[in-house]
Amino acid sequence: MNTTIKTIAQLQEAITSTYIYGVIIAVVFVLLLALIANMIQWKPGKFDNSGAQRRNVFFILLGLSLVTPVAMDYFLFYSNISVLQFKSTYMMHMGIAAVATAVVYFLISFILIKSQKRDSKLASIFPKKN
Amino acid sequence: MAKEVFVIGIGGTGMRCLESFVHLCAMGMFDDHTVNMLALDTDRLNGNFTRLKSLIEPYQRLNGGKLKSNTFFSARIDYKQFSPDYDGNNVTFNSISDYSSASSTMYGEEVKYKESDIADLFLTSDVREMQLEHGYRAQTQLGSMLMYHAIVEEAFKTKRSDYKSELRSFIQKLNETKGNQIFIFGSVFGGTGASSIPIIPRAFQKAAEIMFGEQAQVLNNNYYASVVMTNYFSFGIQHQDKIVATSDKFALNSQAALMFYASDPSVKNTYKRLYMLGREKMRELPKNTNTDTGGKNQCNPVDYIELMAAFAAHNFFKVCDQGENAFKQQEGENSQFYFISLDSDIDKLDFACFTEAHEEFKRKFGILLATALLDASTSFFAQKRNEEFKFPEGELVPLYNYMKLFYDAADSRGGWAPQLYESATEEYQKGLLFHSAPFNTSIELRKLKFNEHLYDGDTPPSFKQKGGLLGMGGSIFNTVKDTFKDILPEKKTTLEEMLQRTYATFLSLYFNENIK
Repeated sequence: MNTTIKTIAQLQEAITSTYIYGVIIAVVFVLLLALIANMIQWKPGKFDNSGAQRRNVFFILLGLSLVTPVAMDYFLFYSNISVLQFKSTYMMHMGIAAVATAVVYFLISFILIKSQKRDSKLASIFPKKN
Repeated sequence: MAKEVFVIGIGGTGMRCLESFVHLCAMGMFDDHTVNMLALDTDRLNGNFTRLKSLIEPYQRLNGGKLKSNTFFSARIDYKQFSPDYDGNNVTFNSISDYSSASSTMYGEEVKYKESDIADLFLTSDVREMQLEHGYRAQTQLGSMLMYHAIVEEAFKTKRSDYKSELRSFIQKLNETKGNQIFIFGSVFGGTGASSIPIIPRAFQKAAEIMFGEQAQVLNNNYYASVVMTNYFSFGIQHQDKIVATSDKFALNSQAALMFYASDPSVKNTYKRLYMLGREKMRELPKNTNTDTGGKNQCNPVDYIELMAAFAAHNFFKVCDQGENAFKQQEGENSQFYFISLDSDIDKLDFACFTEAHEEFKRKFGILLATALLDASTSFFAQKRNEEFKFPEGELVPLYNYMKLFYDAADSRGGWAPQLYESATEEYQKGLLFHSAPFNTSIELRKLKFNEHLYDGDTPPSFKQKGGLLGMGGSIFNTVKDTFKDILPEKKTTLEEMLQRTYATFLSLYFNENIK
């Protein structure tokens, strides 16, 4: 994996891997969200504010879904590119992949949240109005 | 199957027995029952009487006049009350019977007599002049006569079209059908209960004849039973009054009453069963509790023996279902006596000490207690209403009012259940029924692990807390709420549905049983 990228074929392969990793990260983050959301306990009291905590986790993971692919791609691919022109090309794809990861994470988790029953922990992230 | 029963509480002890009976109804021990309840006390201001009224009101609102099963507040209670009108100054035997007229004229020629002589035979002047607003004060010879008189007088009053009488409604219901099951609560050591138990069925019959005609029948063809409660508590009160019910006479009163009941043909012919309850050592009520011989200060604490009395009614209604044969005696037999006593070496009163239906009792009492603990520590009901259920917030008020009387977390574990527990701790080291934790005031309520420390014993029903990482660090609230959402999820509108789901949630958690 950490081989030096010197040819266009290797660059293409790295770009493809970048997008695939982006999707994998998005899915992992969605699973992480589900796990953490369920770990956060219901809070006693007249109003349960545990939904706000889960919402925070959702947005933190959204931020991380943007940063994590960039950091990962930088060390896995970008730092191994030896041809200067390839670097700018890869940088563009790295950025697009990061945004795509965040968008995929957002979309999958949002659909997942909205498909839950209203009294579930995931649904409490974006509670349905009465 | 729907069933209708009648319960009558007489006097202070009768009120507390009714209180226990209502809590049994709240637990769900009388599923699908209509309970016609009559509270009969001479003392309108009696603290136990007012406590019963404040319990009945939220109960009825929570029940909503429906027959239900597998939930809390499942029995419909039709509550009536009757008090002879002894309010005001100087209501005494003398004033009621117009003693002065009866004693003013002398009759006879050789043997001189007055009409009042017959009263003088049974009643001393102190008793005749005793104020009646606090009841009959252990003067049963006076009480029986006056209670009979009060009921008959009430029957005559109802002939006026504008006169509303709850007693009339109760007797009318009795008169409508045959085979009614009627259970009467009262003590034999005090005044009102001891006076009334022997005469109530006959007084009702007389009243029915006055109100509904000669053909009225409430005495025969019905099943009457009573619990005869001998002296089980004592208290020390200093009074200025000449006549007062003092607890040192309770044992003597009990003996006299039992001798009378055992031999009186009227009692024996009327009552199918008499349950007698007592304890070896009287419970000494502390001086700081609201003990008195009458008035609003007579608000004696709850005692487990009153719950046993409520279960006597439970037992009687079950026996009645077997029909007349259950009460048939063998030829030549006057009465049949059965007795149960508790082992002297037990350190705890268990569920089986109260009823044959102890498994059901264990489930239902535990579930109601767990519900009270949950709501007191987490505002569970308010939160569920805000999140899911659509009923107005004000509908929760009766529930809070009921819970306050059942288990008052704010009042250093006051309320019926803690008082019940407390009543047993003097005699039994480990109290009764449950783990000590819910009644231990030194344990902060939110730290109370009632998932494990509700029931006691070798393998008590319990559930694990869920939530947190790999099941570590979960909470009871989290576990209950997570379970609640998956149980009967289609029921999400009314308070009744919320209570039903809460009941089913704890049934599932503690006993792994599901309601469909």
